[in-house]
Amino acid sequence: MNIVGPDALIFGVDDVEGCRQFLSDYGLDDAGNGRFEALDGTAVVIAQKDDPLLPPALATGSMLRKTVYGVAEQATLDAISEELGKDRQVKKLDDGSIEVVDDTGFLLGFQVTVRKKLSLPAGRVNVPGGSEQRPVNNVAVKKEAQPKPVTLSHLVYFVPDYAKAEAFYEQRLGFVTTDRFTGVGPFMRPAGTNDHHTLFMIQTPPHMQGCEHFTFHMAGPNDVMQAGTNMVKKGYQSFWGPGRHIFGSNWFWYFSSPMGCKMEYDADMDLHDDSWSAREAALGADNSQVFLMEYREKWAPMGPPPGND
Amino acid sequence: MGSDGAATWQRLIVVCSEFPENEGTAPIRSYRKVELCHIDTLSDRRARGFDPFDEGQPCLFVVKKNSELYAYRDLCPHYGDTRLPWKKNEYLDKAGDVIVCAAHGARFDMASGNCISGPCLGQSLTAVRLHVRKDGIVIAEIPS
Ligand code: FES
Ligand SMILES: [Fe+2]
Repeated sequence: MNIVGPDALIFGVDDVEGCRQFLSDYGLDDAGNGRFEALDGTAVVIAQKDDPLLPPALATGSMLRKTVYGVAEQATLDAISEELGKDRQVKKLDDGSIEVVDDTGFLLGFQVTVRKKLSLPAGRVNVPGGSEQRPVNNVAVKKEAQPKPVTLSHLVYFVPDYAKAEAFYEQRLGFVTTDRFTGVGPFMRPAGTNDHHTLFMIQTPPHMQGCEHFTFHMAGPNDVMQAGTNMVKKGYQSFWGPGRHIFGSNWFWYFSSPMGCKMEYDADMDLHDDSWSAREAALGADNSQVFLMEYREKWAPMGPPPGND
Repeated sequence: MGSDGAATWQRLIVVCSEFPENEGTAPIRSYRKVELCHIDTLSDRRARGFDPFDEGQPCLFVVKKNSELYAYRDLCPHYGDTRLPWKKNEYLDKAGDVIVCAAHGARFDMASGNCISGPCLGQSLTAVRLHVRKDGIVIAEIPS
């Protein structure tokens, strides 16, 4: 199944205006009708939580209503319809997309991908003696830069049964597990991308089912740092990062969001093909990042004044 | 830390070693009493975070509803050591009815601090005791 990756995430939110401001400040373009787009057209879509046009919410109250995947061409869409039609209802929507519920209850959409082909300059770094340097007199940093998210990268579900969910994505949709945290869940990529993961799942009790976070790829680590710093300066809450993950090697910076889950920036994720063998590790601080920095707004080296322990 | 910060420390921190109402029942704990703000600066169905020790991030927040004040540590019981808001002072839902942790959408009753939906169902926020002084200054008692 030539599934390329997530094209859009649809949320039913409490504070539409707060989300609009947040998503714009994150760097997405307001395309109207609650749609906020990255450079390649992938998007977050928000609507008021009681909007009758929204699909129903999960019983847990998670604000994520639907995950829409992009597929390479109509033939893939037909193949998915046929495969999933064997044991569940496949709804055809007016826009040509299809809608189904996965084995743990998440609503999925599939459509011929909206992703525009981009040609961005490769991010070059000046490695001493390296063969491809950044050109001379080409200054790397602008203080006032506002880097834009390039494309929707991945999302992470809290699931009540990761083995059941993993089997669904693997056997029915052709996803591959690239790495896993023991007893927690798999990192998975669909066949149409080499990205280390577009989906990660975390086993939780059923009342937690929902979205842990989702992420857009930035053009490089510098853009993660600078976009994140812009967010902190606007008063948004850094949740974890900046740092660099071990599985996937992606740079990360997570922010709490008014969509009831965290929204991350990532960059420079590993690419894999079918010759890769999945690794496995125990979940924990030791295996979650190679390094972690923490942004501090105020700091001085002298600590509290003497006498006030 | 500027001279302002140093002055804050000297002005605010008083170590109280006992509370009469706890006598005979609870072990003696020590509290730091810190001045937060004047009560008139708090608005109904709004929350505000406070950083009395100049740590760079609020460690507690105060909410006001129907002229009652409630205060909690700014820590979500779900992950245990992470903060609630998605933006400075954004601790509540839009209507100002419940406290929300933005990280995964847990909702908490304002008066009890109990989680009413979301990942930490059955757990509670850690309450912070407040007093309002005669001059209207809100004082928090933070266990030291
Ligand atoms: S950390 Fe607060 S809901 Fe998960
Ligand atoms: Fe992530």
